[in-house]
Amino acid sequence: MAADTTAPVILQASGLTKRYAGVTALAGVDFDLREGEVHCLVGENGAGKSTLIKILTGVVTPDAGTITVADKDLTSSTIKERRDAGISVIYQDLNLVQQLTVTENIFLGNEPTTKSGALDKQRMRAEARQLIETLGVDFPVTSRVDDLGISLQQLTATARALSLGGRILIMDEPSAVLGGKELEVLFAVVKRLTEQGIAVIYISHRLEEIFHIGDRVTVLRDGQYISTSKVKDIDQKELIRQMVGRDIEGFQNLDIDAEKGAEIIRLENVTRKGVLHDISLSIREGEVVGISGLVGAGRTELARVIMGMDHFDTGQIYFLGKKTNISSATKAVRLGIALVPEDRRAEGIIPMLSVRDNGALSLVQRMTKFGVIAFKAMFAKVNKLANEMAIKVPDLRDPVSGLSGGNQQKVVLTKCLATDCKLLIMDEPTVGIDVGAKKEIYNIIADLKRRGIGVLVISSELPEILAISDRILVMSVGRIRGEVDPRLTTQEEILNLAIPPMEALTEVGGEQ
Amino acid sequence: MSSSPELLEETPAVHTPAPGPKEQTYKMRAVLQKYALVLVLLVLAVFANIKSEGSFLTPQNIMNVLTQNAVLGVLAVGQTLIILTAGIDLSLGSITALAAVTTLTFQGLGFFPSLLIGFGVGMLAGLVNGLLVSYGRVPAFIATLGMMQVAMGLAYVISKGFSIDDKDHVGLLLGEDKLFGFVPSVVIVWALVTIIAWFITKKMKYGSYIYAVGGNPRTAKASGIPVNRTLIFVYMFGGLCAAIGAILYINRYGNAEPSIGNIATLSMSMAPVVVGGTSLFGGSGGVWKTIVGVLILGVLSNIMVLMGVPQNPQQIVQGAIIILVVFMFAWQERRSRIRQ
Amino acid sequence: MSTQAVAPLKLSDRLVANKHIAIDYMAWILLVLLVIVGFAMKGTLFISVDNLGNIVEQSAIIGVLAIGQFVVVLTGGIDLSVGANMAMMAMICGLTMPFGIFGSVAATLLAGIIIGLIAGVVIAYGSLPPFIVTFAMMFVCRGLALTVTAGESVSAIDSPITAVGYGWPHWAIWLIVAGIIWYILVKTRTGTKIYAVGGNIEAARVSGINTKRILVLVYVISGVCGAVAGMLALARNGVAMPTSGSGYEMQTIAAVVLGGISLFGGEGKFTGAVAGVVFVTMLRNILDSNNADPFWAFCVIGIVLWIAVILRGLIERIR
Repeated sequence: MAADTTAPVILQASGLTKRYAGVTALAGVDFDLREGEVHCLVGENGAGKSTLIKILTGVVTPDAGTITVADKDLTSSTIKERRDAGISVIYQDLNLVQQLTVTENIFLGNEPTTKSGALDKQRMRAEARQLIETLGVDFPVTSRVDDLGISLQQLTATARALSLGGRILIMDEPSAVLGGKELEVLFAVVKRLTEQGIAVIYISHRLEEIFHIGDRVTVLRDGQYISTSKVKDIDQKELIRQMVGRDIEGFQNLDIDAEKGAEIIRLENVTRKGVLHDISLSIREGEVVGISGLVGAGRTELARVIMGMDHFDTGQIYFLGKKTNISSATKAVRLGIALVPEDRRAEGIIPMLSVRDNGALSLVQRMTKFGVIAFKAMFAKVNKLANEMAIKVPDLRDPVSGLSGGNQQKVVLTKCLATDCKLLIMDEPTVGIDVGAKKEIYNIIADLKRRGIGVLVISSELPEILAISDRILVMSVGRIRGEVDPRLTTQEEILNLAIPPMEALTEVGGEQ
Repeated sequence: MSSSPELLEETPAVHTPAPGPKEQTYKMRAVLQKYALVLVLLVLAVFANIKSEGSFLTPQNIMNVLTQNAVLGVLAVGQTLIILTAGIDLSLGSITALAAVTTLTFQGLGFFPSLLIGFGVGMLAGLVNGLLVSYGRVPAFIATLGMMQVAMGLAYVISKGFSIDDKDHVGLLLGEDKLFGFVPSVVIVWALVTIIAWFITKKMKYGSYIYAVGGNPRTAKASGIPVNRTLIFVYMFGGLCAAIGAILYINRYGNAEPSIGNIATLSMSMAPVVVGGTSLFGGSGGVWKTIVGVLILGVLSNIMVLMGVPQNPQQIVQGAIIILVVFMFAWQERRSRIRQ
Repeated sequence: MSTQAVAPLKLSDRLVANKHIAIDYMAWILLVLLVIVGFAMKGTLFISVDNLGNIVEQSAIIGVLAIGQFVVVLTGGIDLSVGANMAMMAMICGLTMPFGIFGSVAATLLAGIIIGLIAGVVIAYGSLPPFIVTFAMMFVCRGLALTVTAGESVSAIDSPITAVGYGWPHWAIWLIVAGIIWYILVKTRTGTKIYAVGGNIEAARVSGINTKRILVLVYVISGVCGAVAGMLALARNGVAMPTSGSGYEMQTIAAVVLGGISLFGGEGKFTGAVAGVVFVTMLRNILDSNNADPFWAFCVIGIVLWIAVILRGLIERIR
């Protein structure tokens, strides 16, 4: 590898701290970057990686700490000044204009012109080709971006970052959507860049990759700096041990041994092309099944298929023992399935409507006589549930938009439970929720279990899923990789199952 | 974020502010905002009354204003439901024209058959709009812009471009008689349509669906609300309102011609909806607001007549009012969103 | 420099690539079909010099307006006021004719700029939906056109503008307008910015593009196109009628959509728009002269618009 410990430090950050509304996202984190090295940044969801990136690029101003680039203090500089200092970032969504060509995207907002003011297309193409060559790859620069595979799109974004003269390249989960050969190309490109003295901050969920391309690795956990080590001095087991650690305190899954009831739902070999492969699972009354896995493992997609929001290609779903075609969410709700979606704002609530109107959303279709709503009965039910959940709002007729994340989530739960559902799917139920409300939601889940409702919980937080599940299925690249018993397993074991082996990635690459 | 048991017990104080003086002024402002447009209407009416030397606010003239605006009023009610779903129907004026000429073309069949044919045509046009917007995934303004042309073309084809007289008095089915001696039947029909629409939006499940779909279609879908059926419903209801508007038009003028779809006020049935304060982005507003909007524009146009402004500039004023009002509401909405 | 070969596009990728070609050439394919239909219905008369001349002449005004519409749609917007704007511009040109031909042309162009500026500023800085603003603008323009002369037409029979005549000179002016816009779109930074704003406004903003200014610009371009179309209409008819141009917004949108331009912005070939214009005029030509009720044309164009949008959406959804 190009970098060694003697290469000069090009970026130095120390004591970075950031708080959002009382929650500490980053607490006194130190980070340094040497010329020509690949410095990996790892940590679970919510460990503070994205906050650190946002601070380094100037999107977010830190509450404390300093940043120097090439001995220049840049702590209070703007996004543009950072860019001029050579910091470029390739976000996960790439920020490309899909309909434009590779060349046009590379130079967007920065196009060279001839003396007459017209675009110097020849020069653009030549320079674009040169940039692509610098990356060590070759593809037509005149293609439209949306005609390219995701891998080439990423290389386009990389070329774009380089065209701005970047010396420090931040790659945010560049491999999340890549597989197989595409990964090899990416690794080759990263290696080539470092050979030219460019320093790369590489963020990834996939620990395997770090050992492939990383020189050093820094671990964050819960916004705290944990360690920085040379990749060759550390192994995957130790990395995982550093990433995890915390347990959920103050909550215990007491009924794990309780007798479970009849089967509610059973999936047999459900496959949705390119997304889900051969998924089989079953959930019984009073059972909490946890689904663990990395982002992009297909967990949300699984929830959408069960909810009837996406179709699947092959396989069967049995609901209450009968083979059922869940063709729409409307049908799912009628059957007794409800979903607490991952993105609460986008799919969980209707902001301008009141708390009780939101709570009645799924219930309303069955509380009618000749299409007229039985408001009294409907709101009685919603109010009762809302009170049970202790939603903190002065008046249930107030709009839901003014509530905190935790209380909004309780409104979503009210909506789901008002339908007397038999199966509740919860996708990341505690994201963006404060500690107190989290515990309340765990208690609600425990209560549902006692009432014989089957619960499917999807969560990226390992301590959480370990604390609340009766059994855990681990997903990776669209497949269920294994089932573990939360009493016997460890966070390390789950992560090991969730991290896709290199072969699995190639497999997916071939199928896409 | 280390979680200690103490921290877990601590329930954060969320959204339970004591009603201090600030809260009270906030509430007062909310009330004021709620009735601001009614206030505007009253001020305009009083102004018109002064301008006309006391002849505006007489029962007779008030009925005149209501009668003049009944056709637009019925259309605007239909438009309200559509806009509540964050849609728009540019074709309501044209559907009115089409329904009117069809009804009169078939007037030989008798009152009810011709009436039913008219209603059927209106709802069919609405169905096509609804199918295009829901299952066809065509943007509402494009789908209904197409319908605006199709319905107008058909109206011309059916009538051969001529005005058709209401020989068999289809329109007079409603009767010329006035209820209590002074409430014209067209105003009663308008009131009935309004009450029905209010009942649907506020008391029936499709009303809940409408607000949910307009407020956040993705949440609506994930909550099991039949989004596509709701969209089809509102566009069909809009088509039906246009057909009812057609009958009112025939009742009032005794004939129908295909060009009535081009009448500015009828094509602009979204104007009173927007002026009334229903959000073009969907999910907030209501039928009664639209009625206030219709009356504001109606009184305004009466004032313009009183002041001797000829007919055509009124179009300009209406267009300008829409832009201004939409601008104001968008501004306000954005500000409140930023505050959150 | 050694380069690592990247695997050639997989079959699925190629399909996706062809999907864009299908959209880009949709109008051309449909055009060929339409010519066949034209032949079937009218025989060789269809390609007689006279009839082709008719098509050319009819396409010029719609063509100029469609170019403006095209630029607006590229940003994901829409201009429903083009027809009414054209009528008003014709009136302005006719009324200002006493100030001399140059004064008149300048005044009309200025009016076009102002109309576009108003719509653009309201849309860009008010963050309002373009269809509602331009729909209101349509009534403002129509109302102004009807008001200035109390609904009367303006005669310009003796004015020098009629010297432009009709037929091919119209087409030449269309070509000039089209050429200028083509140059802006394809050859300048501004063109790339227009596409970028329509394609991914966030990426455009991140790249340092002043997106609001671009939005204003496209409506100004559409306004100016309205002015040129208005002058052409005046030159052709010798009179300016306040009610002319109704339904033109529809025809321009149909032409643009048929030409493969996405209503959501960011993509669409210039040539596609041109083919779309020819298609729409040819369709009108066939419908007009086939002894059919002329109003069927309204219905047919409306239905063609629906089909074009749905068809495009279906192709777009191929995965």
